[in-house]
Amino acid sequence: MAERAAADRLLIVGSNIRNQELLAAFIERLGYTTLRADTLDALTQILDAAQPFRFALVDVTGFDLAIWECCARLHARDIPLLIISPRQSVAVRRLGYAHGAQAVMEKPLIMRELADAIHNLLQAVP
Amino acid sequence: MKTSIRDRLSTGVVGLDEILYGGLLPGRAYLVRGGPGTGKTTLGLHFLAAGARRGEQVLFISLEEDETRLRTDAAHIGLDLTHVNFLDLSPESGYFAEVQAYDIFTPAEVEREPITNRITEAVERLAPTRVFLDPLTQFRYLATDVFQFRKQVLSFLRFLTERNATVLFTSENSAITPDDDLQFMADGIIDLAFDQYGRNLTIAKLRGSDFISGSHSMKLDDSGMAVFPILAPQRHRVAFNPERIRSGLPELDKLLHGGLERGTVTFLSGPTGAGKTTLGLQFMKEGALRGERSVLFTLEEDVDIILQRGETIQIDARAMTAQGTLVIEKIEPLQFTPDEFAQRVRQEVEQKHARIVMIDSVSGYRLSMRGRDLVSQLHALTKYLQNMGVAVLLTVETAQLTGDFRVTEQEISYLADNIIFLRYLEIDGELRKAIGVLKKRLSDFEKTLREFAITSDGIRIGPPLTDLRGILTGTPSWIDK
Repeated sequence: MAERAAADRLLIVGSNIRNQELLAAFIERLGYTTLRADTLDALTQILDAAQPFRFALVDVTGFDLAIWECCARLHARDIPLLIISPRQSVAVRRLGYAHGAQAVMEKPLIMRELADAIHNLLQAVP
Repeated sequence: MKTSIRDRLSTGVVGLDEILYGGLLPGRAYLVRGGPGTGKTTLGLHFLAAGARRGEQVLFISLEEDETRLRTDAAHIGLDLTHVNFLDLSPESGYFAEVQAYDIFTPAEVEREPITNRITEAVERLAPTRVFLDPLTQFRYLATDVFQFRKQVLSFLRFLTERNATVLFTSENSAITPDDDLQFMADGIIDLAFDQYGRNLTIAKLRGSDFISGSHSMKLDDSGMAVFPILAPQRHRVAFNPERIRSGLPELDKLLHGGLERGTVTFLSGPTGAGKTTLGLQFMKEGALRGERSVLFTLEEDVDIILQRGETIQIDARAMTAQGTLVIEKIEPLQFTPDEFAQRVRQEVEQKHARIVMIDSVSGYRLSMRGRDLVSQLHALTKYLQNMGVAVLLTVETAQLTGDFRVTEQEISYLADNIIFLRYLEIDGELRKAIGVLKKRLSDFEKTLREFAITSDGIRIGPPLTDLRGILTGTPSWIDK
């Protein structure tokens, strides 16, 4: 049962509370549950506790460079990673891919595109 | 099929209803355009309050101002919004304080659905006959592109009008976001503007109905919005007897071959202090004896001075005022636009049945009114009064005391049906005055001049000055001398 819950659970990371709420509501409408990390500390605790989830969406806006270390830890656990970057930031895009992102999407996201990206990335993972 | 006035919806603003020939056609959508502070929301409040007064279900959809503030503003201008329903979609203060700003998705994706749901729910629950949406241009930010916006607005307006609602919606047009698209979609357009001549309102479009075109002046004050339609004289006409009204001075009536006809414009021309206003009051005094009401609009002298002067020359203007047969009203500089003044004159004529109207003076009118084309406006006003059978007296001041004769310094002589002039004369080293008639459209008149004097017994007019020649030069000489 716990395994099944973990299979439907997506980690969302972001520093803007309203963004996190909107993202969580959207993902829940897609039929998944969410695990939220609104701060770097919360994210570190989730990673330290090895809480199970199947996929991670990380909005790097507002975090310091330590966020990339967390991304690398996610990648090391073979968690598919979607990085959400501020508008037109080539540096973030490069850093994202360098730290294991499967995809980097720029804000504002188009809901339909995000749904497709999540769906495709999850299907690609066995 | 022509829509009768009874089928139309009052906007709640009397002057605007007149411009719209009775009001708005029901089940249609109208755009109210204008810059900030031009009165768009005020018009909407009048529109909804008028519906609520008739027991209609009405709805204010606000995307900008909150309900509390709108109710306070309405109360300030005396509008009762007790029975007006509000759908307040304006942002709460918490949006800022609680950092509710987001950038993960576009506003179009996040806001459109909840807003649409709330509007749909309110409209279906209340089934309003009147909806005011302020401002519709906010929807622009909820659409992903221009095509989507146009489609959404068209669909939204259809959603409302198919449910028999009459819709007024506002736009905030600017150079960056023009509202041409909304203008095409609306059944009617009410343009509000504020320029150097004051506030004005223009109907730019009205599907299915005629309207009074042109720029109408408008007022926004503690009583809300008031609109003063352009005076269109051809729209006002009553049957009247063009009888002559007497002055009560037999000599003057002889000069005029019986008096001045109703429905004519008479210039009382002369230099300062000659007695033009007093001469006009004489006609009004006689009118009062017949029980008729006269109105003197004074643009120069104060009312008290006119009243006091009347007392000293046997014209008891104070008593006439008390009886209601005379109104003397001071028009302060820049108090009125010509449309507003015309509305005031119309009230006197149509509601109080004034039969003589005097404007003292033409130059005062030109200096005091706020607006453009003042001569044309005065022309329209006098034409209106003629059509209503009112005897019009206009005082016209000439600059020269004596010397070369001119009726008026201004190019307005064409307005006059009759011209009575007063002149200063120097006879045997003494300053005296003469009265004469220069023009009378509907009858012959006495071609000679007579001596004119204002005494403590009233106006005195002497026999014809047949022994003098060169009167119009101002320095006549006796024929037998």
